[in-house]
Amino acid sequence: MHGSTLWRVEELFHSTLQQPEPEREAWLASKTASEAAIGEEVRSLLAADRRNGELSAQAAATRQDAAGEMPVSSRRFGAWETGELVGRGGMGEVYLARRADGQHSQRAALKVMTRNLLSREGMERFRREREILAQLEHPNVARLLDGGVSNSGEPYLVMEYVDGERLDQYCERRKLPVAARLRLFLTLCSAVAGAHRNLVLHRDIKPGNVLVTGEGTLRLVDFGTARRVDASSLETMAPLTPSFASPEQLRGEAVTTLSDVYALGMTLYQLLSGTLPFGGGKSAYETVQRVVEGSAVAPSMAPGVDPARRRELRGDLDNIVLKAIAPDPARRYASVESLAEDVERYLGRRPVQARAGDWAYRAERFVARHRLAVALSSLLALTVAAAAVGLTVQTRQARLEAERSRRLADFLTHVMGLGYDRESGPFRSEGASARVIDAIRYAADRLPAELVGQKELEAHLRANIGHALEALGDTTAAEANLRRGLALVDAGRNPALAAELTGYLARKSELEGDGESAARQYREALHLLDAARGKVPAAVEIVLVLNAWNPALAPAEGDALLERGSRRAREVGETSPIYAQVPFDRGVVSWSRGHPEEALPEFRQALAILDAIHPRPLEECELRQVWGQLEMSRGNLEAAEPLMNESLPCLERALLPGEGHLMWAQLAHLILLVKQGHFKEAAGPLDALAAEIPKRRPKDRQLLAAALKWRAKALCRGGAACGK
Amino acid sequence: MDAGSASEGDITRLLCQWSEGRDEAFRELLSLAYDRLRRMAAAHMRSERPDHTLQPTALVGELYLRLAGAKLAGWMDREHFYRFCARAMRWILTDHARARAREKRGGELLLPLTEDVRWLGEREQDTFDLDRALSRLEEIDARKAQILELRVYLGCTASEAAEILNLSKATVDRHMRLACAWLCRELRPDE
Repeated sequence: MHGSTLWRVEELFHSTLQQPEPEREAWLASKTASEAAIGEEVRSLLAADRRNGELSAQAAATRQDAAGEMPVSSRRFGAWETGELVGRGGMGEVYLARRADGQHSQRAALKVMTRNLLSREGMERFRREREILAQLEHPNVARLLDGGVSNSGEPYLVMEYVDGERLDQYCERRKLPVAARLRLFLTLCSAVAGAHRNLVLHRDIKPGNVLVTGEGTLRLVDFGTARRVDASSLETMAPLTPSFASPEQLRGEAVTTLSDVYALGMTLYQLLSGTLPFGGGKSAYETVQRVVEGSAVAPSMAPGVDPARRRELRGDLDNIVLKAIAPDPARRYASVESLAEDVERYLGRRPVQARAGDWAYRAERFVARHRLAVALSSLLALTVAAAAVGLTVQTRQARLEAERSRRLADFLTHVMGLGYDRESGPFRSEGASARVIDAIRYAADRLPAELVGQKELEAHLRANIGHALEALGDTTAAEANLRRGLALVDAGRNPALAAELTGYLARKSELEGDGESAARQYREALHLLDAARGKVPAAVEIVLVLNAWNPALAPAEGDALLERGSRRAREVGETSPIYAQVPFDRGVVSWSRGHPEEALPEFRQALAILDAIHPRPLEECELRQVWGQLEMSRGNLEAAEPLMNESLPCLERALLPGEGHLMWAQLAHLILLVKQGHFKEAAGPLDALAAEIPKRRPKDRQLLAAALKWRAKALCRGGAACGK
Repeated sequence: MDAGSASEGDITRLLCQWSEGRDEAFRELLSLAYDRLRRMAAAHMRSERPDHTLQPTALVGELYLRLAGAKLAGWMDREHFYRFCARAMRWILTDHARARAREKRGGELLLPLTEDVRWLGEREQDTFDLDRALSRLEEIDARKAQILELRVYLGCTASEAAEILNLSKATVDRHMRLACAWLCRELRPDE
């Protein structure tokens, strides 16, 4: 084919092909009588065309043969005889098989390497699978029965036959509840952990490689891609399943036991949500991209999860799965065992480990990725998350901010890289709260240096820090932070933030017992809130209006605030502790208006909401305290005692000594003793408390007056000092 | 490349943006073609398992480097882009085969991706021979070489190749028939 002859050759080639086969030669000869060279070329190409067709047909036939679509008849492999083809795996085909020597009728699965895979590498992998299986003895791993090389040179493995269904299909078809799925998952974990103990990595864990029999027995199968931990070759070309493969696997980096932890996490994700986090990409490329970047949505947020299941997954189970599939192996569970332990903790209703650390980690990642450009929205998320853990409450109640503060401390310290560690950090002088408060103070000192020029961000952080500090009892430091925040924010441009800061400032005055300043500041905050209409996060508005409620307000004004709070509380959702604040506060209001009996059904409703939240929110303990005080005030001491007894230790753990509500609760406890007639037992502690108040809370005259009054009562009723 | 997934406008726009220095445009480009490339890579590397794909990153990583290196080649449109992908795949697979041969490792033959030349890949030499034959064909009839390249290395169907090259399917079929015959004569001369 050269130059201008090319076109001629091509034309003749096609026109000849259009002739009926037997006439082609004659037809071509007639056309090329005067151009012999061209005729030869066309003839040669036509022959090649025919040959191409033949070779292609042959190739197709051999391939089909090699693929073993239809095993011609049963074949012998050592003492085994194959039956039906039951599957095709990474390395070859799997047949049903039984002993041909009739010794016993054991059914088995026989895996034989496909002929066209008989490369050295393939043989090596097959040999490795055999070695690995031989060394694994675990009730949940399909056992190796036999293996060898057939007469025609094909290596084969004989394994225990598992007549079962894929794990995910088994769960779906039986509509298993979450707990049952978790128990099956624990069995799978034990099989993988067993392999790890034998220094074997499975490397391809996914529901398709886990079979469950009709009796519910689980078996991990297919160790075709397994490898010993100590094997040095990287084998970047090993088959894998992208949706379940860890980022390090996809990047071709070293695969460790943590990669199996990841695959287990993805399997759990699918079992719980019915879908996979990275499956929604437009293309496989996007999937790989997302796996590597690790932006997984929580299982409860996966598309297609029904609302009931969503509620069940939210929280602990989300955290467990997200910890297992963290893109950075160092952030995952350190072993399959620790993953399994956390799942067991969840099933046993104990607090799981996957929690705050991961939350802080996510916040850290989020901020790291988007830096300060979107830091404001991350803080919004922080505020909402914090609200869900426990913001708020009404003026006369003890409030528990420890959990929220701890999270804030984590957030600040992680984001700012302070290296604060809850367990072993430098702040472990006075118990958990003290460490948190130290961390927050420390972070607060560093803010100006960290956030140069980020006025609004700093103001946001100051609001959160101030709120946490006042809840922890350090009103002086709280005030400094809140005032600094107010100085940074332009109330005209961002009234929502100014309202939040002013509201916390009012709260601070109130906590110090300075009711006059508090009333003025609340008015100011509410005014700002009105100016920011619609732009205030629900949690912030709820806290503010509920805090601003005060028994001294006109009833209509007070009711309007409560109504406003409960309207926005609905946005937060009924699984949030903040939702319980609505009946809680309605009860407190009824009580303050002289109708304690109307408070009881409200408290009961609030407790039911709080009881359903796991782990137990701190508000529950707060509610018991208030309820106990209410029962005491009605003279129902038997009801009051257990409520208050359960509540006080929890308040003491959570709050700093000297915090206002803690001291009120301690006083209430002593008042109960007096009312029960235990004057002598109450007198000493009341003395101590009355002496402590001026030191801890110099501005709190109400508390001091109450303590002195009850101290006098106890002394008077208890002995001779009362000169009647 | 699946019809509809990537419009000509998209690709031309991305190519322009990329050549103007916007690196994200390249990632988007690659993601448009990635599905197809990955499938092809898997087939080339011979995966037996429908739910398994072979490690795609090595191949795509290499492809990325090649494409990124060719940034200044100044290509203009969708046709150039796919032709470039096919060419990149050809380089990668040929290098891969060369490396394997150097290390005297067997196995992992190239699978023919088009029904028209199914025998391709049965011999270990085929990968190099195909590369050399295509280079010769380029000098004789560049169009046919382009079509073969798209069909063999990217696994395009005749319609897809026609769409990319802006030809009718019948024309592509005619080119392909002759190209296959020619290739067979080059690689499997009658013994």
